[in-house]
Amino acid sequence: MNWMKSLLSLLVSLFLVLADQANACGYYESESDYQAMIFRAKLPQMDFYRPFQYTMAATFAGELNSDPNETDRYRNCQEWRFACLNNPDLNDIYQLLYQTESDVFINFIRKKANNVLLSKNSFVQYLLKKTNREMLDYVVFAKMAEKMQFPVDVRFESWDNAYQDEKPTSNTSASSKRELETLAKQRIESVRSPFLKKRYAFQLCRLAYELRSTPNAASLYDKYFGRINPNDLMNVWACLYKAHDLAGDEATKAYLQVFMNCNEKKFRCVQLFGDRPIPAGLTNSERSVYNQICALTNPGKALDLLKNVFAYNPANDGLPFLVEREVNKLEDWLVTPIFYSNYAYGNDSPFKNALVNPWLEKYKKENPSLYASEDSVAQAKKKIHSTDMNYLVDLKGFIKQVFLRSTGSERDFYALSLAHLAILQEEKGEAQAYLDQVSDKSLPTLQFQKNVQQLWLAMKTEDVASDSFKEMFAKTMNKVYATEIGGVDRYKTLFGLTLSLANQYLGDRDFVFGNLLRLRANNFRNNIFSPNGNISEDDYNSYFNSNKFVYFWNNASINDINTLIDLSNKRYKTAFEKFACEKTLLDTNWYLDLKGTIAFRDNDLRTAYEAFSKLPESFWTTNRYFTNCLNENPYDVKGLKPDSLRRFDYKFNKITFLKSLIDLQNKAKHDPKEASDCYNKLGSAFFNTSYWGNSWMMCSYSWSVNDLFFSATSKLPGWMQDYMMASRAQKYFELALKTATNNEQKAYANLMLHYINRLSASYRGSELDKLNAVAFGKAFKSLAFTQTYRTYDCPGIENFLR
Amino acid sequence: MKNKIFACVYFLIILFGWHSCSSGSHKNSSSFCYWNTVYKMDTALCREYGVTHLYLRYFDVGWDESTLSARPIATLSVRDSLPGNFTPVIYLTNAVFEKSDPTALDSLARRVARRIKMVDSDFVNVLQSGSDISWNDTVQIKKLHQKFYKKYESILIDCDWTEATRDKFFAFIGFIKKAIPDKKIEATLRLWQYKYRDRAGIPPVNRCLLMCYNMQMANNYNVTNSIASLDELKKYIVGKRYPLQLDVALPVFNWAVLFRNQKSVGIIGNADSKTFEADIENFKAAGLNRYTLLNDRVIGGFYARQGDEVRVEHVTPKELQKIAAFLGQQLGADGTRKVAFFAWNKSYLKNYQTNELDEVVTVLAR
Repeated sequence: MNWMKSLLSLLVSLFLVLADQANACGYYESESDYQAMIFRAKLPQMDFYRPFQYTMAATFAGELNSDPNETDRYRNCQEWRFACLNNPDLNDIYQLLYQTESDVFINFIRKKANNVLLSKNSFVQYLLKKTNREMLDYVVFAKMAEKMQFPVDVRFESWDNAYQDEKPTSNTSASSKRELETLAKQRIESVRSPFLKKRYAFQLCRLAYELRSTPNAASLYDKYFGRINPNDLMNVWACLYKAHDLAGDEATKAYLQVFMNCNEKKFRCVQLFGDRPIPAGLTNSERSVYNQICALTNPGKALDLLKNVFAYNPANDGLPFLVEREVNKLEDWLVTPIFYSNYAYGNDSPFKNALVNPWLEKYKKENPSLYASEDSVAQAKKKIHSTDMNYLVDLKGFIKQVFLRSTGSERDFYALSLAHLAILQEEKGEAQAYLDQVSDKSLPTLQFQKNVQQLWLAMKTEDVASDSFKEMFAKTMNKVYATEIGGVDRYKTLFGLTLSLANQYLGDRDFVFGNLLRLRANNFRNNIFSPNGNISEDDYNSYFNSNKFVYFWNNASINDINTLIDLSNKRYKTAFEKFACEKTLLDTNWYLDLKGTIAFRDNDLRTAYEAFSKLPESFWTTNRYFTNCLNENPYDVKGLKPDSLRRFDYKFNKITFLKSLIDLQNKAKHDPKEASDCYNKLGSAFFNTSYWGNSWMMCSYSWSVNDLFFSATSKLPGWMQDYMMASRAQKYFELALKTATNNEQKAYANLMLHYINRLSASYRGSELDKLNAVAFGKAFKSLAFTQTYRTYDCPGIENFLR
Repeated sequence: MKNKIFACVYFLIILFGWHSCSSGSHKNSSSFCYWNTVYKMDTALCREYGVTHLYLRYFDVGWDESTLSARPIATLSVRDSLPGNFTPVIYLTNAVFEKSDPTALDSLARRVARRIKMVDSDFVNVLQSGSDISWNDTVQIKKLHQKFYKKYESILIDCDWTEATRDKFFAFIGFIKKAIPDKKIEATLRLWQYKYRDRAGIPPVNRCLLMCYNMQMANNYNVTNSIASLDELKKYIVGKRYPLQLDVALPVFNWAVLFRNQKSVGIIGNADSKTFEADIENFKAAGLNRYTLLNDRVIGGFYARQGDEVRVEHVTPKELQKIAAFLGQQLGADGTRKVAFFAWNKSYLKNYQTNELDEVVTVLAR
């Protein structure tokens, strides 16, 4: 059995290696790209938790800075200002401490380098006073220490400590730090100011940790700070190095203190927290924060942790963020599968149900216990949905409790959370009731969310095709779009909302607005990855543009394309149309080509001809998209001659081609003598417009060797069955055979019927195709005296017949 | 007289032979790739597996879009001294060569060289801390530096260069050679670079480390073992022998891939079958190293749902030996070949006995 498994694995992997090539252009979508996240209500304190935004795939999702507004840095500046007897300007302190390069300041002080900005800085002026010498010495010291630290950017480091200096600086990292450590030890004893002593103590803790000195950072912290003092920033920051040096409960307690009492180091604390058991003897506030940190890194259901956070400290300002995380999880679990199964690229591909892997099918039959049946998968999904809905009810119950005790902005936030969960439950009345409770004077970020939810609710309660809905949607969407709420949140929300509406239109079989809105949603999603809209025109022209008509090619009708062309030409669009068409429409010529292609594949040659006739001839000869694929004579059957004789310089013109096909059809109908030749020509041309031919682009906008794996032909749309099995060509060759007046005509028709059946047999493995191929092959051989036989006979036919 | 000459020649041959077996790092020896960001060595484990050499990741270099320049990432934090010989490894992302101006490669090479020295200094610092030498005793510190510098004779440059970036990457190697003239420069070689050498080019080095792992896409539901398999390897090791001497890196790591509706959710590091087999309340075996979740639960940082599937991947000692035998046959004998195992981690190594790894080395390095 093992060999069977190995063989199966090899075959399956080989198959998938090939199948994967379909995505080999480098673009593929993952479920996380489609992750639903419409609830993005923000309170100011939630900025500190940005790195912990919910994601299904990783613990940290946001920017890895837990203090984007630099509250800790301003707190440090305030402490300096206070120490300087409120003399210097706060902004000047900030400028020197955080915006001045170390070397610039050190050179300004030591080498008296000219610097107008620093000369005018009130903090620098204060430091330069003789009485403030100790303070100046400390700032110089801190700047020297800063030189040896990596920049704040958590990912990239600096090459060394002097970008411009090409001289080796390899010794700086260790020995220079040791020098600084010695200096700090001297200074901490000699300075009189407790304010400066604390700063030197902080520097010593950091250096001791980095240099792994003895005594270590924990001992130094205990010596100089003793115990945590939330009001002293240096104390809190130094405590982080103490935590690094400790283990077990003591380290846990230290991390909790740092997390509670500063913002900049929150991220680092959580990063290093791991799976720590809860230590004994914690205060209620500490217990609350312990549960908060555990919840921040829990990708599953964390309601019990949230309950603890609230029970131990109802005033914990991290609770709203945790509530948002739980709501986002529910959105992901309940809404993402809908987005994913219905709207992933390729999901409405005509091929989607026709994948056949014979080995896998056989193996599944032989080992039914190893593979879950579709029923059991559906049952599992149903059960998951049910447990998630129960969880939603539990979460809602908890938020209601918190809501009743909250005030101001937090109350608005919880009302929005409850409204959002009610929408997920389809409890429209309840959702509206909570939305009505959100104050009109609430924070802009909450107003943003209120608008979003109002829209989402309207989608579920109103007729989305009505003009009143469309007007309201466009107006509110523009308002939402114009609200700057920071980060990528806005785009994530806009993506989810627009895709939801696209969902409804597609469900109602409105493929024009359904597809346009889906494309618009894609644009918002691209902005999530490139918030500045930094997508090059090349990207648009390759992947994105093709999608702009591939969606329509997959599901639209000729009437839909007509509507699309009208919309494209419409001068004064409604606000809703403008919204749907922004960055989603193509030049009308593309739609005319698409219309012609859809008509051609549906065998409506007249409509196809009319559509193509409206296009300039240069459309197919100047566009690389066509010149790379439509460049051979469509009447020269691909595969009959060796590849070396193929020529790729044919100036393909769809109008001329269509006209010649229509003329041939007419001639065959009205001139019985020419009928067989005409049918043979028509057969050759239609063969070439099938999957197997050299002009497949008449029917399809993509071609892949992997298309052959989708061989459950009965599950393909009608036109695609023709396309994959060259059925139209087959019908014409049958007519050619029937109307043949000479052996050459018969020989060619038999040859092509043999060839088409042989290809079909190889594609779908049908016995009937094989028998037909044999029969037509033998008939062809019986005409061995013809010129056609002499031209096209090849060992392949003989081998096949054998 | 004749006999004396023969005796002298014989003695010299013996002496030379002994020297080449004991001092050079290029003898039949096993090695491990140390890819962590913090260097702290479990010396007992090191002795147990007879580690004589490490490929030690010093730092990575990536492309920083904000400064539009190549910058270092995750430089090794040194907490311990090195037990034996090693080769520093510098990993440069392909983006560095896609985005860098060719004229900037010279200075990039010099920066890389300087940063290597910085990490060297950190090792020296650890040596000094554990000795009686004072940190300001410059003479002794210099001696420590010199001694440390002799611990490695080559530097490995790791990059998944492509056809489009190969010229810049090869030029960079030239600059690195100039910047560090007293060390040999080696390069890593991916399997596709081995197979499609006409497109990937041959790097301008004497030796390459052929990386025989991560052979298929882990996120592909239908793959049996994306880490490595002999069948997959055979697709790559084809054609003429590679024109450079090749060391070989083989996988000894394990992980599991979590799938939902046959779509990959993520990778669960360091997961083994035993854990899932033992947990019968939460997992049901589903054949081919696969397990189905019976209950919702957090696993490896992901929230896995009932019905999700876990595919456990690792290369068994037997498979590893088969791979080694095949490679030995295809790559030919090379007495100086190093066999490195990726990667050094106590939990990975518990799946392999020392003699099993020794056999792999013997097969491949003879």
